[in-house]
Amino acid sequence: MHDDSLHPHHELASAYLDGDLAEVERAQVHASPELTELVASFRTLRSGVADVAPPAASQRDAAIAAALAEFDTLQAAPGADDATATGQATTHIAPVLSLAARRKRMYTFISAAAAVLLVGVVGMSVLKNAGSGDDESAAVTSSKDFSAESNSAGAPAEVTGDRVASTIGSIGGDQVVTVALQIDDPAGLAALPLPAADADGGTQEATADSMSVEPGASDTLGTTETMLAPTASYFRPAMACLGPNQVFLADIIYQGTLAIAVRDTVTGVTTAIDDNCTVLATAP
Amino acid sequence: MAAPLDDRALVAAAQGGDRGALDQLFRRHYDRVHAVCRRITGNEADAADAAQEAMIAMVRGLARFDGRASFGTWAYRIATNASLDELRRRRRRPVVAGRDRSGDEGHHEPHEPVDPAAGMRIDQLSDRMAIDAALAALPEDFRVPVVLRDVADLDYAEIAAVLDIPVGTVKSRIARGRGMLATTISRADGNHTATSHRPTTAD
Repeated sequence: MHDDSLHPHHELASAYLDGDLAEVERAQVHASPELTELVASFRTLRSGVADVAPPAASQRDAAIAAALAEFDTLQAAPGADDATATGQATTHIAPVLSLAARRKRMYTFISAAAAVLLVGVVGMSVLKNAGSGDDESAAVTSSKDFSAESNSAGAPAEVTGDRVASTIGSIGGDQVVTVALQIDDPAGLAALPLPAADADGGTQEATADSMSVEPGASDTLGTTETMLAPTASYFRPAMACLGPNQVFLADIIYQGTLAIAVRDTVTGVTTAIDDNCTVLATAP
Repeated sequence: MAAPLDDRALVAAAQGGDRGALDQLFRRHYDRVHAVCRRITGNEADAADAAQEAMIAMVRGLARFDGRASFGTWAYRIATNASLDELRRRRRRPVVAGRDRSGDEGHHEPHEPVDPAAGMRIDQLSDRMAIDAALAALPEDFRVPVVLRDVADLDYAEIAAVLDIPVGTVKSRIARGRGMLATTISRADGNHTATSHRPTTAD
């Protein structure tokens, strides 16, 4: 079967069959009984090779249906119309969006990314704090400690009932996470904005809303948010130290000490006060 | 009644998203595509798979078809590649004992009703099986050009384009292939004849 050497008669007979011979060569074939017989043999062979049983109709239909399904899929893909119309490969072409729509989409994306990042950072800090125990910094205080200090400081009834606000909500059921701003100088203190409720002349009571810290605020101020330990109940002892015209601004860590920032609504002076009512800093 | 659209018009319509045109085009060419696959793969099951793969590949490549070659030439090129891919897959596929993919005739025959034309069909079947066997024994380099010439009816230049080989090579491979097929079949006929006429102990 592997005798594939090209016999000159085979080449002539094959070319004759395919109509690929010049007149002189055709005459040569006609004049040779051997070549004529070989041509007849090849012709029979060609008929046999071409004689393929037709496929079953169901098989034909199934194959065409599969191909048309693929066609439908490609047509449904974005940009398919453009691609087929121009005779180019099917590629995904981004839809045209107005600039406003693009910006809106971008802001949405940035907001979502910032939220995810914040949750991730806080979550990692929670895990870190939960596992580190005695190595925690001064900013990390257990709820038990705060409760004890609160009791010893004799916090007012209306304050002791408040839970410390969380900018991200509760984590793991009853745990509440507090975010404090790290501030190291009076300028940072002075730059703290009034909580929205207070700015509007609303209540000065330390509520969850009024104490929430906007993530963007820390960026503006150039400060760093530090998460306090998850607490079941965080009573802010320093709240007992507020003067009559002072409003709470934020939980802060001032030069490494847990404190609160308060502002006198009459003088505009902002003060950092720790849990022992010690004034750590004052900013006009 | 409107004259049927030619391939070029159907291709253009299909490229513009006309599903019906594509359906018509495929129905026009499927049997020939299947025949090419059948002759290259050598059995019905692989041919069915290859033909379907070829049709899907045509859909995916339709947007790139520029019409320089005829749709048929392009389609048979795709069918040839699909068949060769199927052969390569078959070589990697483990053979399951008790199953063979040797052809539809053998599988379907037991289900066919007996009728007066059965004798003639058996002769045809015998011829087809002989051709199948001879083609199967033919090296791929010779089998494919012969199939493209005799089944797909492509000319030498088209076959050269499909296989990306020179026209002279196409010509010589077809001639050699036919010569080898003729030799194989004549030997098989000789054996068959010798066997048929061999005296048995009953004689």
